[in-house]
Amino acid sequence: MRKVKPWIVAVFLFPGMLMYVYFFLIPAVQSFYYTLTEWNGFKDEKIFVGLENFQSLLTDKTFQQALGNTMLFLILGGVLVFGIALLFTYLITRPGFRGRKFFSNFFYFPNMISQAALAVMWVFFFNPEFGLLNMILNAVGLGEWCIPWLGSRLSGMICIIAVSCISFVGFYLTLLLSGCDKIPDTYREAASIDGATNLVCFFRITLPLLRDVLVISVSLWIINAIKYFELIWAMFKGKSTMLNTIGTYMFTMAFGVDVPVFKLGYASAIAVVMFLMVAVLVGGFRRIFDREDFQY
Amino acid sequence: MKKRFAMFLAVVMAAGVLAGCGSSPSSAAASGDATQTTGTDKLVIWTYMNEGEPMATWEQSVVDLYTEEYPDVDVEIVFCGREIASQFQTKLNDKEADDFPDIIILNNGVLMALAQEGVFVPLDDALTTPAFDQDMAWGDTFIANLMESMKIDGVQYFIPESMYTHGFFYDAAQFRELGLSVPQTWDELIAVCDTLKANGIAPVALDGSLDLYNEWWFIRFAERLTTMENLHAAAQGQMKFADDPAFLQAAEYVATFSENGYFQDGVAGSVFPAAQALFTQGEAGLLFCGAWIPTEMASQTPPEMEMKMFPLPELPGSVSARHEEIWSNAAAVTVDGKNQENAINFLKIFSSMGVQEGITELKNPSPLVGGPTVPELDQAESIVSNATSISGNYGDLQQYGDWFVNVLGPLSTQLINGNISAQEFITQLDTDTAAFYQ
Repeated sequence: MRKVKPWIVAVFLFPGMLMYVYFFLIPAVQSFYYTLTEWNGFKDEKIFVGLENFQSLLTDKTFQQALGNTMLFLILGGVLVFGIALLFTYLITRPGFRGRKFFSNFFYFPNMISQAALAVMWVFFFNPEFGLLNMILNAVGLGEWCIPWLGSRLSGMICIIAVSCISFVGFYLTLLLSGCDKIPDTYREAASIDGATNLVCFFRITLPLLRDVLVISVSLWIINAIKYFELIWAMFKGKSTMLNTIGTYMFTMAFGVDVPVFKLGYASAIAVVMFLMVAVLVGGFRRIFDREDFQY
Repeated sequence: MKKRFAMFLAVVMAAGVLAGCGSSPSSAAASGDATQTTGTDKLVIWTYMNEGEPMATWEQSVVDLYTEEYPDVDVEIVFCGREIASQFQTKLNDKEADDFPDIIILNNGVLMALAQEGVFVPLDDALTTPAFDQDMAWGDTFIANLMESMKIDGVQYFIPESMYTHGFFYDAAQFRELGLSVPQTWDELIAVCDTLKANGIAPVALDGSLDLYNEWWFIRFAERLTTMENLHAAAQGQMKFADDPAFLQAAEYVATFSENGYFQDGVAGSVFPAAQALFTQGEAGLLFCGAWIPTEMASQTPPEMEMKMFPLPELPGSVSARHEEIWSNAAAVTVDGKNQENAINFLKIFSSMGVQEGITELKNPSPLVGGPTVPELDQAESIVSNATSISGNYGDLQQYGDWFVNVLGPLSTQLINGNISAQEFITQLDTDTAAFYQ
């Protein structure tokens, strides 16, 4: 095979690189600069305030609440999403199981629906007066369990995590199933001959060999969870402070929507914190769990 | 040959990208020409409406009327949706663009903040010129209190699209059925709530998760019980809320509703617009909200419902017994727009008597003196004219943006849902306000 000269490769890469620099790198660097300023976006004038925006974040109760909500979403949501996705992976990949295609499509389906549309549905589902959830609880004699689901920070976040899981499980299930496809059947067949049950095969063979896919999936989850925005925004439009995540809080501080809050410098500081969280958590996670490619 | 072709392709791609990133000489020239021209043949309007919304259709009809009147002007109306302010922020980086907006239509709370940044043109002189279809000065066609409430330091920047006020909505048919009459005093309001409750109807519908509407309650009571100067001084951290007993009293009035169980069950978990739906379904008797409710709920209001409005009744010990809020979605002319003359001409048609029927058909109250009325809001004009003092919506406290969002909002939600007492609310409000301004 003829080797392509590096300068030709470079020339072909140039347009892409240029776009990357123009549309991502420059705005990202600018954002770092904005964190050091007080700026509302309507005037050219930016007042240099040094690290004041970051200092304010340390004492901002709403930010701390939003950070707590984001971490809860990341951890509890992660446990739920991957717990359910792994359970379905086990059930679907059992030898002789029929309908794998149907179930993987079925679980992926909620992922295809717009988050805004889902938000409208869930808001009414959880309504304390005429919502379906409380109606069902009343119908089965569990009326005392009926609470205003979105009326407190904890129950509200649990509801948000639960409905988000329904959307996300299908996506991570698809990733895990594609990982399973790569594992040769011979390992499991050999183990079965030696008397291993399906469950043992899953934990001792499938799961260890899925490690690479799991590391990528968890990394994706961390990124998605930290920047999670759409569903919560569509449900509350940033007007329920106790249910903010750092993504929705950043938007509220930058663009205000109904209330004129236009603190672009402060919002940029929040964005930088989000970036650092992703970098530290994904970097740390991959450092602990990454390994040499396992060949099979 | 292959290598040459590859090189050629790469150069073409790179040139294409560079061309895309830059602006063409012709477009630059065009924008340069535009900045030099006055009395132009173009007009760019940005509105907070989404395409297809009823008010967007009305705005389009005004554009059509303007085009008939000024056929040489090419009008571009952009339906930006509610995040119009953030789009405007971005556009301000490109002031020379041919499509830079000449007019922004938005709620006047946000417009006021933008006007204070100097992005809008004062309209006082224009308002002294003749109106479009009435034989008087343009400024005199509007309801005086409305125009007064929208001024900033005595300067007028806005042309109102409608006229909103705040109060209790109720179903007159339901009131007749239960033998209730419109309450004039606080005690009568409490009696109405008790009767509704005794008849199995939630006295008041509220979305308890919505900070924005929850803080409105405290503000409305405080406006009546103390001076606006004190309210704004406390909001800016210049005095403590605890220093004026009227604030505690206002919080106690708000707390009365949760303490007496006047809100619907599970109010804390109700998310907008569930409360409005509950009200139009007849499962709640009252809704304390802005005068946009008839418009917003038009498609869900059953024909048998006779929606009406009454003001917050007089409170014992009020400083201003009938302080009312009055505001509007409004239009403003941008400083950097290139077609200001066209913009003024358009706004005269936009606020002319001839187009008011279109507004009131959508159940929006007209901002004009003698304008057509909306049956559901037939009390709105008397609410405004009987006011002992006026302010914009939310007592104009929205201007303290992140204090309003991060301090007053969450605490008001806790107060109205009964999670904290009135005393705790005032104490915490002072603590959080002090921390905020520190």
